[in-house]
Amino acid sequence: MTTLSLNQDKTIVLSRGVTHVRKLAALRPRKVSTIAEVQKSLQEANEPSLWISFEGALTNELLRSVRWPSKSLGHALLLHRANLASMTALQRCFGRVAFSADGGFLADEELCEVLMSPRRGDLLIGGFADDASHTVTLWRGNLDSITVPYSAFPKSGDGTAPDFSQFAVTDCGQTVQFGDYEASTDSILYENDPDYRRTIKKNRIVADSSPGGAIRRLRLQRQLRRSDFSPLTEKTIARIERGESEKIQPKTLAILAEKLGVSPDELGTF
Amino acid sequence: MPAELLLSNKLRKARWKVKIREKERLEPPHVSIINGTNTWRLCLRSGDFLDEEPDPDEIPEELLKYIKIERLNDEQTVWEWLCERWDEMYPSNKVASAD
Repeated sequence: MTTLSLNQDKTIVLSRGVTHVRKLAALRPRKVSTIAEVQKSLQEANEPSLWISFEGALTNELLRSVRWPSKSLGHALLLHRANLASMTALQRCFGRVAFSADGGFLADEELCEVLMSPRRGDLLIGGFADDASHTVTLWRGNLDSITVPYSAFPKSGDGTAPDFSQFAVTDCGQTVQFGDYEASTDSILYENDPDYRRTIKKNRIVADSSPGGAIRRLRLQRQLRRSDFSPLTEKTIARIERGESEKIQPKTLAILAEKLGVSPDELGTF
Repeated sequence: MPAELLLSNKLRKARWKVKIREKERLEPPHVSIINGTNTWRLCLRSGDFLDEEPDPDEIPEELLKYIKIERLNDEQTVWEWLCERWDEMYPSNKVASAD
């Protein structure tokens, strides 16, 4: 799992007001609200820090004040409307830059809780849905990102469908909302991050750790029936899942992987 | 819409939530008990917790009792309602199914 070392003494909040800083107090942030303070913070930035900006004007000032070529200043979390034209410059200054076009981040208190959590890489802080590419980009608490297609959010059996224009992250980063539709962060990371799968596998109390068990779990996750694996028969799939096939032939494995939408190497990680 | 239990004021104030979301890790059927940055997965087939962590002892007894024993109405218990909702949301992986 990717971890970000967030030194809590080195959180810098760019905000003219005090409300945000108060709500992020547990991070013990340094408040920066003027041009002079931005410049001073940059001069004193000897260690990578987490820069959280609530105001585009202060982010712009930061970029104007940087001495180019910039050393890495740490990571940036932009909670204001992002200026795409500044993105390349920001990426030159920061290892990771989390941003959104239209908000889409947790409220300050929950954001603070996630950033403080030792499990922050397994929780989300925000993201956005892009209707042009039909993808959803999600920011983890370590400011790493994950992008998944709209198709990863199938309609529920009761007919509830995601409304991608109503995006929100809730439950302290554990749920992604698309209107009435909710997806657990756990399921999104489980399907898209092999490192996350490896970690949670160890945490399961009872689990069939055989290749057949992994195939069964993935088949259910994809909401497929044993009859969906033609030319393989239902009986063959059942035998594989029960561990009754001594060795799965490469050709069979290739069919399974294709139907399940993963590479053959990945099958065992589920 | 997720299946979410309406909890007492006391539990809600303490930030407890119990729900089945439209997209979950599917195997096995379960209900998610959420508090802050933690989630406990409770198996709807066996009634057991599915993961070693977080520690199930952190969940208030009254909440577990409500989920497992209490009646929702004259016709069904809370547990039966959760199982029914899971089956509606995930018809390819029903609680009673061995598949």
